[in-house]
Amino acid sequence: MITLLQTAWESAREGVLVFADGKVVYLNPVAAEVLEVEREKVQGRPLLLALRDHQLDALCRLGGEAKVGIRGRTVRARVVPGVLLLWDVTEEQQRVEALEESSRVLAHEFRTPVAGMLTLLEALQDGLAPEESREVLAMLQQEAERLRRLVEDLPLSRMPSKERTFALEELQARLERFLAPLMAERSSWIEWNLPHTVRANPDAVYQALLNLLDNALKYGPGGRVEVSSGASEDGVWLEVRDRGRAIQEFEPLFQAGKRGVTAANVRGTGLGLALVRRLAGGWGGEAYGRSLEDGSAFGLTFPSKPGARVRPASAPLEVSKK
Amino acid sequence: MAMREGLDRELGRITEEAIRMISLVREMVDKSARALADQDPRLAQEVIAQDAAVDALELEIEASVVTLMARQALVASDLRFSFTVIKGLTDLERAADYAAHVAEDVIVLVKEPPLKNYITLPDMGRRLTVMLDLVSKAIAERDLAAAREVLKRDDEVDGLYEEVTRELLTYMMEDPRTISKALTLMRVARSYERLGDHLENVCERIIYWLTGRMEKKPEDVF
Repeated sequence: MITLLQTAWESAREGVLVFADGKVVYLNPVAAEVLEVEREKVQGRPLLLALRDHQLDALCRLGGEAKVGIRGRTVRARVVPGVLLLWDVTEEQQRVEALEESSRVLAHEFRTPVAGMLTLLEALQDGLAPEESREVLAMLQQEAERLRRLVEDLPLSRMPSKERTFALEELQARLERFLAPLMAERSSWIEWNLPHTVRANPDAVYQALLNLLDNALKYGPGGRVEVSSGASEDGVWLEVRDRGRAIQEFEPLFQAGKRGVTAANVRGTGLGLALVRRLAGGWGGEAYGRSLEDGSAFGLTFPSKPGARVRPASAPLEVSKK
Repeated sequence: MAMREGLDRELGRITEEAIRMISLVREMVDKSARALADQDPRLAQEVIAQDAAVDALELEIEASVVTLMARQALVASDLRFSFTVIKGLTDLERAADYAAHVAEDVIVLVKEPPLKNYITLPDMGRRLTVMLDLVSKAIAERDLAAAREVLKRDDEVDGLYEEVTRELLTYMMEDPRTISKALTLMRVARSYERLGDHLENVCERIIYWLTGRMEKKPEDVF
């Protein structure tokens, strides 16, 4: 019976530690792994020497259940008299955090288009000329369809995406119309210079560019915003340039709104840019930011072959003084 | 024989108390780093409150060791161990103070919007908790390799300190309005860097206890 039980414990998937009189009597391999101790070195020795954590030690004396952070892991611990059970829930915890993050990204992904649609609806309610109404309705339908596609793609799809080769210029009219209210509000205008053709899912590029423009308009100083594309033998790049205040570090802006990011941050939440990066990754490209002489540029790359790095910095800067 | 048993029991108890103290310091460091990353003044307040517990434990352990030394004529490894604990206590207590200093600075920092996302500084804190785990392991399992690993890891913390300092200097030079906040952050970095040095001291003593030799890095001799 004893040996049977021991065999069971030895192969159990949770950590089992048996103690008596404040000393370790037995621990199974999983417990040793979670606690990062060597079994032969702690068996028969004081409990605290194996646990090395005063909270876990207290739990053993008082009994009950707790989630504790030890040795860089998140561990769920349960104590019944004489036995400490341990579950390593680090991965679970990370999954929950990843899920929360993707919900935040999603919420963000929807917010901008929905806000745009609401503006259009308001305009409709205020009464428009029949010609304008038709146009606005068409835009609303287009946006609604795009959102539906977004939802359909949701399980962050591994499905082959609807890639096709298209002229970047195709996106211009839709974006311009859609961003018109924001542009008016910010006294901004967009200068387009998109002579190139890329291979990607147009919806994804539209969404990425919408986010970049939304940022430039919202956080930039107003005035001119440029959208340009360029090409080298490695591929095509597409850039949104504004004259916002200098940015020290671009990389953190692309990290999804992790903890510590507040609205008070100089350049918004950075959530939009995390999404842009993910979208760009979808077609094998990259999202980047860089400083210009008198502002910043945020852009996307479309490598011509897998793994090629497109270097926008090598392109001539036509932003400066006019 | 009976005397040896009593001695072992007493040494074991002191070891346990030392581990408990390290675990407390670890909790404080962990919380200070999270308070900084999450801009959480409540967590910072907890750290400050815990400092008193560490101070009390220091005195308690010190008294136990002094009593033991008075009662027993300790030799060799036992004697080295007792001195390691006595010397290490001071360093650990200072380490806890630095964690509390960080927490105090966090409370000042959260009153205004952050200068930037704090990534490197909490990372320094997390590395220190790993080092504290290793200190515990070194003592509990008499693990020489773990103690030496701490010395190595402290160099990484020092490297991060340099990095943060340089970065904060750039901020200050570019925009003088950031100076007061950057100076506070500089102090946080400094506290973590000093904290690491104290852990290094503890481990040098542990190595002395386990080998009978002091291992000082050349640059530390002065």
